[in-house]
Amino acid sequence: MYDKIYKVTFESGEEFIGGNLEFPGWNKCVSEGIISIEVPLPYGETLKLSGYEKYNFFIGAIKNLNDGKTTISHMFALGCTGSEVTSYRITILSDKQHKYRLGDITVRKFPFGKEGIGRTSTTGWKQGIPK
Amino acid sequence: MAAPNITILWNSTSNDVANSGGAAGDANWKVFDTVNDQIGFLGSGTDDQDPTSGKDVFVIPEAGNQEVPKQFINDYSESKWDRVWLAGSNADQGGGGNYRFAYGAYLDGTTASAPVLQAWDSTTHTTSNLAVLGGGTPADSMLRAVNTRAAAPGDEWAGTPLAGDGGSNTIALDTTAIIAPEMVYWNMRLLIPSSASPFASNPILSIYMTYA
Repeated sequence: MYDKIYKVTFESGEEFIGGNLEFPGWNKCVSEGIISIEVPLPYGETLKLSGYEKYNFFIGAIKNLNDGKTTISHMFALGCTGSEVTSYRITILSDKQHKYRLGDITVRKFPFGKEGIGRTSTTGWKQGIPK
Repeated sequence: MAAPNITILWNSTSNDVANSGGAAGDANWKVFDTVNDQIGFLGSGTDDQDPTSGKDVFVIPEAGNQEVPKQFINDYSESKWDRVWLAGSNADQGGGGNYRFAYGAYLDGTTASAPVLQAWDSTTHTTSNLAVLGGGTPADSMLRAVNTRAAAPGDEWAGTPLAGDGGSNTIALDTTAIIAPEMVYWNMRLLIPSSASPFASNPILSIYMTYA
């Protein structure tokens, strides 16, 4: 699941296939005419976002100051309509100690501009075709 | 874009100035060796730059709260305690003040949102139950931090209690995503209540970042 981590489908019927967890490639995706984003999940299902005015996608990772290691922990797929952002956070870590397990999806809604970690804005929004 | 590389640095001097040297540091800023160096909150008897100086413990106050007066980097490569002179607040008998440039991180790329400073019990990033992190009550965390990227924090700054990943117990190190390589800065303090029991603790500081 950690290759081709998302698929963007455009109104034209064309598709853009995402990269991997280290190089997601979202910045190479065209910013117009998106009708859906599909994110393959670890156990064979697919998360599909469609009907939003704008879309975003990014990876969450955590760097320790004590050992310097960086661990990829989440994928985020976001849709925005009007001033409301719906954030789908997909857990990547698979560890019995974690509250959330591999593939768990946490859905949250934020005002646009507060959807980032730390309730800050995010970059990378791309235009969709709303329903 | 890939995840940016993050270099942690500290200001080894009493000059309240930004780092001009990026990931390499400069005459004021030294690079933190994340494998071997450690940040230490220690008593007043610990000596700066003295390789023979031991760790002086901090005595829990009999009443109220008191800030641990000195912060150091255990500089592994030089085998000595290097004081972070500008660290801490001037409140609660702390040894700091209205200082902006104590700790910093250089990000060599871009992020999708602001990087966030967190504190955890361990590198599994699952719990924040250490006594120093509030013993399960994040608001009671003794470890407090303030984002100083844009401005100095004020002389008697209180700081945000750090514990876990809850929004009110982390600090964003910028107000927006990182759009070009840059330094972010913060200051920290350890505020000990009289109700604390003696402890020696090694919580994990982490930076959560996003990239696309």
